[in-house]
Amino acid sequence: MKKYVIKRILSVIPVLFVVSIIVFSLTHLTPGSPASVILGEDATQAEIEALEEEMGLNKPLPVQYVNWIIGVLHGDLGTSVVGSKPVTEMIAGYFTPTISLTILSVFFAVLIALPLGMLAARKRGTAVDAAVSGISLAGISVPGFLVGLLLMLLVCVKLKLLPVSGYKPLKMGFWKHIRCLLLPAISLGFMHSALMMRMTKASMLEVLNSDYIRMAKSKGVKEFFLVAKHAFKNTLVAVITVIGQSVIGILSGAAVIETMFGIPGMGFLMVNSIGRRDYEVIQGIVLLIAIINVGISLVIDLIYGLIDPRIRLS
Amino acid sequence: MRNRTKKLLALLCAAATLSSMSIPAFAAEGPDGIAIKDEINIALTAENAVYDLHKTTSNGSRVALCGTVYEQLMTLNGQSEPVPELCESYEVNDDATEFTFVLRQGVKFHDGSEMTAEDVVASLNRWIDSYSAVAQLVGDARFEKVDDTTVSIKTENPCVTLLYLLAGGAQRAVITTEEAIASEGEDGYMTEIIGTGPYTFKEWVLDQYVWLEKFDDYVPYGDPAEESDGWAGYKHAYTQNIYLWVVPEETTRMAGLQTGQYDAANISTATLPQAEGDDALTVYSEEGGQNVIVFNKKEGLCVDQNMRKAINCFIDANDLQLVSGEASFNLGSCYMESFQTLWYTEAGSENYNTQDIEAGQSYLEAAGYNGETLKILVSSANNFEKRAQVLEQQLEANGIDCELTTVDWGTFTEYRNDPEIYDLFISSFATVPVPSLRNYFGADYAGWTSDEHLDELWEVYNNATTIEEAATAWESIQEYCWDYLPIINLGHYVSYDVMNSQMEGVIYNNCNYFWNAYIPQ
Repeated sequence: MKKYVIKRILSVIPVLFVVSIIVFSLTHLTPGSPASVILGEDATQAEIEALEEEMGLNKPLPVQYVNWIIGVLHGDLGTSVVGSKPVTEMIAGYFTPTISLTILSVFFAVLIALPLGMLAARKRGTAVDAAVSGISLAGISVPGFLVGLLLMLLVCVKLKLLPVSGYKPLKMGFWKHIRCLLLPAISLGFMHSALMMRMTKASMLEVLNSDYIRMAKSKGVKEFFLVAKHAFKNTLVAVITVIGQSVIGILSGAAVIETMFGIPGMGFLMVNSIGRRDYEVIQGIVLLIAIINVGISLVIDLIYGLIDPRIRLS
Repeated sequence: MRNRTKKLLALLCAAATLSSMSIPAFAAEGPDGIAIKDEINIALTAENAVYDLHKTTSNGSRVALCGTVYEQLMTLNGQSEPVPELCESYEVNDDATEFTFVLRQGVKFHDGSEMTAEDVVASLNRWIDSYSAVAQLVGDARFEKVDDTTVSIKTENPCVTLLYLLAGGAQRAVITTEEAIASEGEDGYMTEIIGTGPYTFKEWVLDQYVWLEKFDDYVPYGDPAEESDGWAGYKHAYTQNIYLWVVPEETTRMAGLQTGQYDAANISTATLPQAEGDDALTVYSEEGGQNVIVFNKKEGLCVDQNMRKAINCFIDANDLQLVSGEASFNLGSCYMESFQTLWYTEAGSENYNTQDIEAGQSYLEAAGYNGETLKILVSSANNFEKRAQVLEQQLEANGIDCELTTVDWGTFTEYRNDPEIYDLFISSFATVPVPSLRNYFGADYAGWTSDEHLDELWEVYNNATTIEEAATAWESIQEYCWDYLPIINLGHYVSYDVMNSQMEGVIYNNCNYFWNAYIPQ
C-alpha cells in the first residue's frame, strides 16, 4: 500500500513538468499583454512596451520559463500583476471559498442523488422512477447558471431571504458564511446530482439483482435493511467515482456560478486572470488543478479498497 | 431525543434570526441632522487592476478614487472648466508659458501629515513623467517649488490646455505624499494610496471590494451652503463608509439593486426597462464617450483617403449603433461630447452619416478598389461584435468584400497595434477634457494618424495663448478630419447608472461620485 502511494506520488512529477511547459507556452503565446491591461484602454504602444520591458516580458520565452520554473521549485509561484501580491498568497485566498463551496455543493448533490437514485431503483418502471429520471434529465440539461438565476430571482429578489451576491469568510460567523454560499451550492449541487443519481440507480439495480441480496430476501430481511444495509455499501464504489469527479470539477473552478454570485473562488480568479493576462496566476492555478486531479484520483483509489476489500491496490 | 432535536432546531433558528438582524454601528447624521445609513454600496462592473492614477488610464480607477480619496490642484466644474481644488489661486502669464499655483494651507493627507510644496512638486512631476501626452506638451519643463506655499512650471511653448489636463486628464494629476511616491514597487506602481480627499482607502480585497472610510481630518473647501458645481465645491462626506463591490454580472447587479443590497450600479440598455419600471430605483443617463471606426493609415486598403471616404458614405451610423439599443447612443458628428460646450462644434458635419451611395461608389472607383478583402478587427466586448456584423453587411451590400476578426479584449489590445492584422477596427473612447487627448490623433497610437496638414492645424492649436483660440483651432481640426477621416465618429454612447431612489447628494458629472451622497434611514 505504502509503495503504491509513493509510486503514484512520484508519477505526478513528470506530469506536472509537462503541464508546466504546456500552460506556460499557452499563456505566453496567447495574444495580449498584462501591461496593456494595467495601463488601461488609452495607453499608447510606447507606454505598453516600456512597461513590458520593466516587467521582463520582452525576454526570450525559454529564459522566462526557466526563471519561473526555478521559482516554482523553490515554492515561489511568482507575483500577480494586480496589486503585486505573491501568487501563492492569492491562490490560498481564493481557494478557501472554493473549498467551502465544494463541500456544500457535494453535500447537496449527495443529498439529492443518493435517496432519489435508490428510490428509482426500488420503484423501477413506476411513476416514481419516471419522475426521478425527469429530475436527473433536468440536472443534466439545464445549465447551472440558469438554475442559479431562477433561484436568485425567487429567493433573493422576490422573497428577500438571502443576499444576491458577495462572500463572507467563515471567521465572520458560520451562518453569514453559509448564507452567501447556499444558492450557488444548490445550483452546482443540482447539476452534479444528475450523474450521481443515474449511477446510484444503475449500481443499485445491479446489486439488487445479485445472489446475496436474493439470499437475504429469502431469509426474510426487511426491505429497508435490505437496501440501506446490504445493497447500499456495494453501490458506493461506482458512486464514489462520480463524487470524486464532481469534487475535481468544482475545486477546479465553477467559473460561471462563482462569477454570478460574486464568490471569489478559483473559477472567478481564473477567468479574471485570463482577462488580465495575469500569466503567473494562470500558471499557478493550472498547476494546482493538476495536483488536485492526481491527488483526488489517488484518494478515490484508496477509498475503493476501504469500501470493497476485494479491491487490492498494486 | 425528539425534545433534544427540537431544542437544537430552535437554537439554530434563533441564531439565524439574530445573525440576520442588522445593528447599526452608530447613528450617522446627514444634512439638518437627519439620521442616515452609515454605508453606501456600489456595484462595479469590473475590478480595477491598478489604483495608481498617475499611471493608469483606466476610467474605472479614476472614477473610484478621484475626488473621493485623491484630490488635485485643479478640478473640473459642471461646465468642464478647470477650477481650483488644492490650490487657493493660480496665475497664468499672457502667452500661457508660466503657471503659478498658490497652495491651500493646512490640508491634511490620510497619513496625518500636512500637504507641502515638496509633495505637490513630486506628485506633479511623477505625473508628467508617466503621462506621455503631458510630457510631450510641456517638453523638458517640470514643476518647481517657489516657496512653501507656491509651485510653478515654466514651459518653452504655450500650454493653454495644461490646466485642463491638471483637472481632468485620462491619467490624473493627483497629489500624494513624497513617501507614497517612494513606495513604488518593482513594477513601478505606488503601493500606498494616500490622498487628501474626504475618504481614505481603507481596504482592497481583490475581486471582492474596495472599502473607503470617512477621513475625519479632511479639510474641505468652498461654501457648505452651496451645491457642488461639477466635481468642485464643498465635500460633506456624510456617509461613514463607501463600499465598491466587484459584480461583473449585470443580472446580479440588477437583482442587487432591486433587493437593496446595492445602492448604485452601471447597467446597459438590456436591463434598462427593469430599472425604469421599479419605483425604488432612479435612472441617470449621460453621454460617456464616442463610438468610432478607426482606420489603419499605415498599411492596407484604408491608407487611401478615397477608400475611407467610400466607407464613410456607405455606412448608416444609426443602424450601426442600434445594436446596443435605441437608448444607448445619440447621433452627432462632434468628436467631443455635447455637454463640453467649449469644444462642441458642428464643423464638418456635412460629411457625417451622409449615406450617399453614389458618391461612395465614385470614391471606391477613385481608390482603385478591385475586390480586395477589407479586414475588420473587433473585440467581443460591449456589443462591438454585433456592430461589426452590421458594418460588414453595409459594406458588402456596396461591393466591399469584408473579413471579420473577433477576439477578446486582451487580444484586441495587442492586435490593434499590428498594422498587418486589420484595415479598420471598431471601438469606443471615453470622454476627454480636451480634444488633443483623443489618442487616435497620435502617430504612435493604433491607426497611426500621420498627415502634414493635420500636424499644421495641431501646431496652431498647441500655440494658442488663450483657450478661445484653441477652441477655434479645434474647429478647423474637426472640419478637416471629416474630410481626411482618421476615424469615423459614429456618435456618442450613453451610459446608464441606476441609484437607490432614496439616495441623495450624488454628483453626476461624467460618471457618478459619492462624496456628498447619503441615504436617509
